[in-house]
Amino acid sequence: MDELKVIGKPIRRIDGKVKVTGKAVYSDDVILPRTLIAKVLHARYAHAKILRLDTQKAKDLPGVVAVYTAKDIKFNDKYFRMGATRDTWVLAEDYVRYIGDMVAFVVAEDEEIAEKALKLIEVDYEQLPVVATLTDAEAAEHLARGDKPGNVAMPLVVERGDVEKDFAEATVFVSGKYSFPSLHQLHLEPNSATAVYEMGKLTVYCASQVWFHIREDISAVTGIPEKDIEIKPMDIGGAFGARNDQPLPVFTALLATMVKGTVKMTNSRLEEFLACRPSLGMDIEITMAADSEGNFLSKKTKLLSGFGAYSSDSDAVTAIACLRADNNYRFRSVYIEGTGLYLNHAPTAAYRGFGNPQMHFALEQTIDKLAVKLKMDPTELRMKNFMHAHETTIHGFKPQTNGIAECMNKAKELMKWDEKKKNSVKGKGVGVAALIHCSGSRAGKPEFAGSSAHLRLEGSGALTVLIGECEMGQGAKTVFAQIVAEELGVDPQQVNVIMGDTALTPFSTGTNGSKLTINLGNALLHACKDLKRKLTECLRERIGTGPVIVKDGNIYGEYTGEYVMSLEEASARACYARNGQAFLGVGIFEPKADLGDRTGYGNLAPAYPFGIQMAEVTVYDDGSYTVDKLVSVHDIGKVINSQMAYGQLYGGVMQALGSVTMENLSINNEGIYQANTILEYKPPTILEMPEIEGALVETIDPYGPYGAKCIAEPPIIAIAPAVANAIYDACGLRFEQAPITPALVKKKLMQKQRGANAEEEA
Amino acid sequence: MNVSKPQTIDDAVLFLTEHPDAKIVAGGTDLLPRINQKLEEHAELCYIDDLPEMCEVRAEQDGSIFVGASIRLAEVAEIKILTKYTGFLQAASKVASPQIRNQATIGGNILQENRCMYFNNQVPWSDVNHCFKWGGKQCFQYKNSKECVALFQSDVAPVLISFGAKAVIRGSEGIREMPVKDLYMQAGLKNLAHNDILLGVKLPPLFKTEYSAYVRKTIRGSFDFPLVSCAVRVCVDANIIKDSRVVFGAAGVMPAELHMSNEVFIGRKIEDLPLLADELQPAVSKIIAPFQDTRINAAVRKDMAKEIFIKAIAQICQGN
Repeated sequence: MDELKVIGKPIRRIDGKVKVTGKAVYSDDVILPRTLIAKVLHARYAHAKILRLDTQKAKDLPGVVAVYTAKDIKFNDKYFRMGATRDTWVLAEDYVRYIGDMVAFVVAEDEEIAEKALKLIEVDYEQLPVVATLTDAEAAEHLARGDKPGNVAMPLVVERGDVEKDFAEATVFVSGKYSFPSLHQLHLEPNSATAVYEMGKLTVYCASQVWFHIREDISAVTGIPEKDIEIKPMDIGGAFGARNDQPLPVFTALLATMVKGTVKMTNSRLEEFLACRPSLGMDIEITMAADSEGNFLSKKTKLLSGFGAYSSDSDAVTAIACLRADNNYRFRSVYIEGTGLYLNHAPTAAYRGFGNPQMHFALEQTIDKLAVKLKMDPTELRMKNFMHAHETTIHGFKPQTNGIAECMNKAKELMKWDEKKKNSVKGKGVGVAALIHCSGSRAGKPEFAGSSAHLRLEGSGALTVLIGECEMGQGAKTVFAQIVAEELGVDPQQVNVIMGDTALTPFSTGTNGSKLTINLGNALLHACKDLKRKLTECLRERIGTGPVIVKDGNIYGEYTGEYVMSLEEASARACYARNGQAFLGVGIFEPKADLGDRTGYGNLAPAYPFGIQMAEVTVYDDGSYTVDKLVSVHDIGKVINSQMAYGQLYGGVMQALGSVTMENLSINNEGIYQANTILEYKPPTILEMPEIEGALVETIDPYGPYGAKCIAEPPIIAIAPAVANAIYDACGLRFEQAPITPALVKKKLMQKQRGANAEEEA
Repeated sequence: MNVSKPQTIDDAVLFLTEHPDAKIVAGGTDLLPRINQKLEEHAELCYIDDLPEMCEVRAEQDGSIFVGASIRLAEVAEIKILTKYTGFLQAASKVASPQIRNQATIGGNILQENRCMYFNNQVPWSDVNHCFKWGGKQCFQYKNSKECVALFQSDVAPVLISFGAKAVIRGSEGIREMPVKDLYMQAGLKNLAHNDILLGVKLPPLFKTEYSAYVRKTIRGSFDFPLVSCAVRVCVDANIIKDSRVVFGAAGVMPAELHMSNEVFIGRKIEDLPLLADELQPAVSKIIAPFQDTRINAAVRKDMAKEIFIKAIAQICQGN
């Protein structure tokens, strides 16, 4: 293979300039003539029966166009997500089940009138007991919703191997009971959508990770066929999984259809917190069994996950949390009991990592406990038990590359691990955690696993990539421009990339599962090849160039190597020879990935990223602690753009640090989200960030474009357990609950002191 | 919303007298978020951000220093004659974020509303929590409380109290002064009439040798309200402590002063300060109100107060 000219280089983002100069156009920037404004009346209580709902006064307010409740909506029960549970409604019918549940829509001439009208809607409720915690939900003394016995949304029981036999053989056991809260993705741009209904057709301007799913959802609740719905992609101010299930654009389209006009809806920050889809909080119990040499034998896991009042992607998240982390290690057997539970919380769904960070928080701490018990270095214990490339893991993964050992060595070097372990300083500690994820995990459509891409070359020389996924800040547009630039030898800044206009692009299943570089990158590579073949064929047959190839943005003789003409000239002549017809390169990637059987067994992804994350902390006598340094080393396959890969790495590490040290929705027993402002939710600011040392290990995966896998989700996965393990190393206190706030550390130190005092007295 | 902008203090006082519903706004960083959150509604705002008398810093003849209420928190660090008021500089530099410190005023920080998660993170469409601040009759902090117990959150005020600073107030009767401490009343109320304007604060002249420090505890290192905070000032002559003042913020509805400090400190050597401070620890935990929210319980808050008191004392000893 020739040396790569564009791939692997820190190419400037092709969409960077419009964003940093404020010229990017986001959904709320869409201003169309005769736009009506819609607002939602949300539930007052986390669980209540609607006794009376009277909208007459609101309807009578001048300037109000319509007020709708559940009974006005023909397909009120048709708002399904991709989840299998199918248990949600557009508007609440007889019951409200979380604060933020939607009771009525108001459509008015302007925002002020709409808000006034909301206040005129009269609702009488009968309050019902609120199921606010996983413990309460499991106990099922009260039901979060009357129609779901035992509060159970999803049972999953998986056993591989002979757990009882392996437990009987084992000599060392460790266990823990962990708790990881529901987190908000905290994308900065609130959801907004504008929908135009005209003569039976809908055009919807919005920001989404799943343009084609949104189209399906809109079709389901409006009854308008998908072919008559067009989703116009707007620039996206962050997603992180939050735009995987978005009621807002769907309901905007529904209202536009109902009033037969143009309707706009924009969430307030409060609505983003209460009426969107945060991550799943989980309680996880693990017992691990090993032999005295430190070989992992078996593991029993009991997991409870909070679905909220309705299910969204929560079933898929729960399944991944149950299974994925195990695949990093050589277990002989595992037993998993995962239960998704209904709570009177907002429905929960995807957040970067898709359930994997929650389980890593539990498993990687349990492994740390085992290392303590065996008096082994936690890095060595892990190294001893890692799976290798070409082996089939316990749940059926078949990674062709696995750079985890290199990651570990590099991380130890960056952290000066051995040195710090040897010369331990009081109050200081280091912690390690390993991670595995999927690169392009199969999700979205059971019918197929792959992705499609188009590349168009026009007579003007314009090159346009057409892809049905989204650019949400991750840099996919630039990656695709780089691939075209590499294959055709043009400047990446000259490649147009259109992502997500449902009228223009191939169908896609959603920007999730860390799949764009590997799946769409492969598809686009095929599209480039297809385009080159079609162009050179035309040049040979219709222009008479003889056999030619495309290279460095020019056309050269295939055998002579001589310059024939520029690509621009070639495109003009070839297109005109075809009566103006542009060239369309079509690319399909069909990964060798299974959907998994009913127990989740299968090779779910074309490739698997691995990584090691480490933390160094100082814990002070007074209970405060500082995270002094974080190390994050990832096997991501071939690096496509080093600058953006590190950007993903630092961003993920920062989000993870927030989740383990401070972020909390603070949901109380009444189901109220007390941290419903960014101030109270407390994400870290740049001033909280310690030094981050990142490194990338380049394995060349046979299934990745140029050998690339992914970097999207991995950096968020194992920082939390690394920090918790470091705190243990520093002070001997084990925190099985996140976030580990100074108040929590203080409380635990006080308990420890009291315990010590009590012992002394005794 | 109507915003009026009087050109002089006299006009402002007159305007407020004539408009009993008007709300004063200067930097706006306390009030405007509540308006945006729909926790408050005001038809009339009186904007007094740049009245000349309130933007001044000047040394008075008696050696005290007047700091105008409209001085930005970020500006405090740049005012030379304040350099030795260490605790004041520390407190002003810790408030919120750099952006907010560029906008927020000293006056606003002193007069900021008390905060409580049950109120400040209220859902406007919910009536689950209609508490005293909403004009209701219940408190979600203490179910049996007969008034609002929201937490006092100013970083600057505890330090000003520790310096014995005075508030300079212009009301309909002219200018008057009162100790900053006396501004605060039960239930988060302020000891000011509707048409009173805080012109600034007057810091008394420094003692010959004087040390001060401000330490606080937060969940997030930057951009956060204190979980609890402590301002300490110690005056020394020939190594002997002559005067002291210890004030806690975020300790209840008002700043809480540790009155016992002088009993223990005065007449003793500055070197003995850490030991003496240890003696005071039980007294510290007594003056911290048992306020709790979802992030920190009452016992931890008390313990943190002791800890930051010791830290502040340690800073003072280092400065010595």
